[in-house]
Amino acid sequence: MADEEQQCIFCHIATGKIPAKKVYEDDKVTAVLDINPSAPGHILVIPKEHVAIMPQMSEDLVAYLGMIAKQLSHALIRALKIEGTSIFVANGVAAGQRAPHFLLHVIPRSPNDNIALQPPVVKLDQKTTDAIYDKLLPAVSKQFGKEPPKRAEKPKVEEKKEEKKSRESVDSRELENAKRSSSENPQKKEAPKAGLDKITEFLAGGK
Amino acid sequence: MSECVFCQLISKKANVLFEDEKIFAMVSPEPVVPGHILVLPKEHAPIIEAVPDFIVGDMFKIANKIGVAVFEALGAQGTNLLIQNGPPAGQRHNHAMLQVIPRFENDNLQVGWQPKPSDEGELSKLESAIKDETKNVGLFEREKPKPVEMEKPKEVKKDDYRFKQLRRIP
Repeated sequence: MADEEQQCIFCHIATGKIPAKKVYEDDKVTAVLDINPSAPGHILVIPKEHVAIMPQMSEDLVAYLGMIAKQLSHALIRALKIEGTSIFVANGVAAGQRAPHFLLHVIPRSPNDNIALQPPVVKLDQKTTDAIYDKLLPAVSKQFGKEPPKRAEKPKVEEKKEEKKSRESVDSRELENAKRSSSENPQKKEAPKAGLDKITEFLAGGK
Repeated sequence: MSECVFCQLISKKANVLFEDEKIFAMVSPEPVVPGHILVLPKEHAPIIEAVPDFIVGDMFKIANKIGVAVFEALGAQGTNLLIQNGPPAGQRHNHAMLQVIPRFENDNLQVGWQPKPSDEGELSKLESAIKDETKNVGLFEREKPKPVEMEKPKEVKKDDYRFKQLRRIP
């Protein structure tokens, strides 16, 4: 590992041994302008610790990088007066990673800039989709040390709320009806709805 | 809010892989590859700038863990994490999201760019322009403690039927 760090260009950029156009630095990361950018203003966020891919990082560093990326994206939008950015990470050569040191890219975007970071949607049949879901769900749940969540359509809590709501609305309608009948036909006043009887009883402190 | 497709999918728990109080992860309803996953804030936010810092941090944490699951479950050889922020970046929905894209060697997915040369003068200009805007980077919003929720006492109107009834009782 020590050897890797000594030979790693990005470790040297992050620590300042190799000069670069730094736009931000703190104790955990250095953000520099890419000298071979996809677009002018392309930022590389380099963790100071030598790591190759995100899964090797501590959770805290992962979260930190995410928050820094969001803020640098905002800074780019203001500085360059652009209408969009791509925040991009490649873990592994198959994903397009070129450096042996983890990099997070914040890329200024403009219409028709020929940057391919919006892959087209593909059609998958239901069988493939279901098979993938069935494979992913236990693996993801394992990562979080959880039981797989239920793929329910309606959570129970919501149903209860709705039930309550509809009951309330029935009550107010009853009340409304009773009010109307009491003012329209005074003779009916003596026979209010059962629900109201109970309320009056309760308000009067019982019989 | 109810018009947002993703708010609706979240409330239906469609394709759910993981959820906690603030974040929802699902298999994408519009996959770009099999196993394409979306990590979304539960509270509606049209762009990532509108999502609180600590939630963005958690979204990355969760996406990273899901990335490991993608390696294990699908045998992927790599993953991309991607936020398409704004229409020029390809954002198509009015709900911010972080995408996890499983990658395989020779999957022919069009993801990447042609590096362009740049000159010292241009870089220096950009550096100072961007640096001007990064002074507040690293100052994060923290999660506010939850306000204590108290039930409001029910207001009783004077002309409430029940009140009238009450007065009528001798």
